[in-house]
Amino acid sequence: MKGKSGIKILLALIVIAVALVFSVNPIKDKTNLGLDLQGGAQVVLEAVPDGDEEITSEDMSKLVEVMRNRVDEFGVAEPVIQVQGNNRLIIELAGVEDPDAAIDLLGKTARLEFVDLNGQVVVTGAELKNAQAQIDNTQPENRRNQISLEFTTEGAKKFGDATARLVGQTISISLDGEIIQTASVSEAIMNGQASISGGFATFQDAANLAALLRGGSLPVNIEILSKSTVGPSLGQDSLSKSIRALIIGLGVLFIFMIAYYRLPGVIADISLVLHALILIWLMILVNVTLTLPGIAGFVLSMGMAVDSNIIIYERIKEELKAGKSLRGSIEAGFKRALTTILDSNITTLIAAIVLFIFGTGSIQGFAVTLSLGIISSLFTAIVFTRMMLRSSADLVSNTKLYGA
Amino acid sequence: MIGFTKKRKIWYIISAVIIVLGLISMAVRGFNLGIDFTGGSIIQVRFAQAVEVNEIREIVEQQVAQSPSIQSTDDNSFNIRTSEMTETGNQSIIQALEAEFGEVEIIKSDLIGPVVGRELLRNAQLALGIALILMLVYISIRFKLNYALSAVLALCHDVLVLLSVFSFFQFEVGGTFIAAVLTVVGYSINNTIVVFDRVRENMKKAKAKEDFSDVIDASISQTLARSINTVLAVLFVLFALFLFGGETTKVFALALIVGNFAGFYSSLLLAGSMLLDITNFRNKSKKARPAVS
Repeated sequence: MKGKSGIKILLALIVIAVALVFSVNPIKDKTNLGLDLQGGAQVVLEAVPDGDEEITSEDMSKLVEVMRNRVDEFGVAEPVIQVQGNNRLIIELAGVEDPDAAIDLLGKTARLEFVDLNGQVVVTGAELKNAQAQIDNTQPENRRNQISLEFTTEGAKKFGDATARLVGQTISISLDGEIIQTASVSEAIMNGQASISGGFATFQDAANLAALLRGGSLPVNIEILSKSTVGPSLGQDSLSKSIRALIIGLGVLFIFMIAYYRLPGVIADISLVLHALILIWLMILVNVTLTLPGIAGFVLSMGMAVDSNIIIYERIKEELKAGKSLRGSIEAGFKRALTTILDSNITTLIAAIVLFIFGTGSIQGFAVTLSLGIISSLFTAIVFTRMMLRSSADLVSNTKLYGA
Repeated sequence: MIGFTKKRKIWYIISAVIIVLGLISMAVRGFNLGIDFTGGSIIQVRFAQAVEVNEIREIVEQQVAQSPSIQSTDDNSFNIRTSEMTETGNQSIIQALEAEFGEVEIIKSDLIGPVVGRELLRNAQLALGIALILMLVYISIRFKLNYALSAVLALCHDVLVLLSVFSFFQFEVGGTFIAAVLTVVGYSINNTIVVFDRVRENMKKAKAKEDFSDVIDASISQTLARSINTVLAVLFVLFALFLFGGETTKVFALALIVGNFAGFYSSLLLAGSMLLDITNFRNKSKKARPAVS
């Protein structure tokens, strides 16, 4: 019996240590960090109907498509574009370099129109095949940023007809209702090409507008309901600070457990490490985004995992005091503690689930982390701690070490 | 054995005082509501050069005709808070600041429209109500109605204490505070349940003549070590988060710490006492009803 138990304990320790070492890198890579830990932008938009018309699901899918095109330009690893209800859109760009500029671009309608003298629309941005930002070098002393436009065959035809009609007059380009350029038409332009020149302070400005034109203009008007941006420095800072806090807090906790509960305390600490590992992997499996409240949820679940251990150990102490044998105390203590642990964990689970249903964004991350943590802590308490206690009882039978 | 329930008048008075003070504070001072509820915008910026708060204020007033509330924190960063804002307004402020002071680093920027705040509050109230009801049901099933009522009342006490403290000290209340309240609800019920679990067990073994209040006191004493240790365990980590975690988790950690203390106090001193009083009250009213012949 002694030998078997010794092997069990050794095996368990080795498995945990190995898992720990091999998990460090995958955890770093696969953990999905939220905005508050990585920096980035989040915006909630509402589509506003024109007059009496309602927003249709078609409108929303077109909106999502345009947004997706725009978001692609930012090169964000995993952008989130989610429809909420029937007229809202949530866009999350974690890790984007300049979050405020990103939201600025997303919000622009970007409706391009070519109009004649009478304000009649001749051709629109919807009929563009391509738009590229360029530097106009024709006048070396006066290099300007510009966008070269290329129309589709349909658009080219419309443009050609219009310019033919308007020779000697002017044609204007308007963006979102504002005229940005007026040019005189010297001849009909049949090749479907045009350019917007000047008016761009930097090349980036031109490139941004070109990107918007390529992606398409927004099919509906939108209103920004809420927006949140976190600069990358704050994100990094928050992450490193919370990890540091966690290590300090857990360190104190570990020492306390060993000091107060001695041998079972050591077991509790090991089971805590296992619990943390299982929880992190569960989170990666479910693809939960780790946010600051999520870290708090992680912390709380550690507290609950410790609680389960404490309930068990106090019971064992009582049984020992009542005179039972070490083995007997462990079995009895465990049995009795189980109902208590289940009842208290389930009530917390209820609250976590309610939070998940009614919460938004980062709070949902917290609720999921807490829920997964409860499941993980139930497992480590019921399966792991029991096994470790039984095995250690075989090896070390000095009841003083168990808190008698 | 400590007479926890014997002294229950004292506990009731202490709690009543805290809650009444809290209610007065809520009525008079209200809460320090963050933009999650009031709507508005907060821009946190850092400048390359030294800048005075008044200079920032002037520029903001020029751009959006509003007097902002500006907080300067160490390391030359400023929190600029305005109410009623559009994104264009925000952008114009930032551009004006850039024009005046050169490079501006935007550390964080939040814009909340008025609709969001209302929804947040409504969702929070719904969530709280539903969580409390579900717990009432679960505890009634596992224990008895009296236990459930006492436990949920103790929870309400904890929430009220949390609200009172935040109103009294005017700590900022935002979306994360709501999450903290719901967490406290889910978490501090644990302590109460562990005590009640012991009461349930002792009642099964108790002799008919034993006083209910003695059984409850004994149960609390027996679970005291566990209660203290568990609260300590969680407080270690929460305090670490509060002291060493970044600015953004401070309020959250603080709310959880206050909630934990309140929960510890209520599960030890209030829950048992209320269980006693509620049971006696309901027994008396049962006896008072004349038997139907």
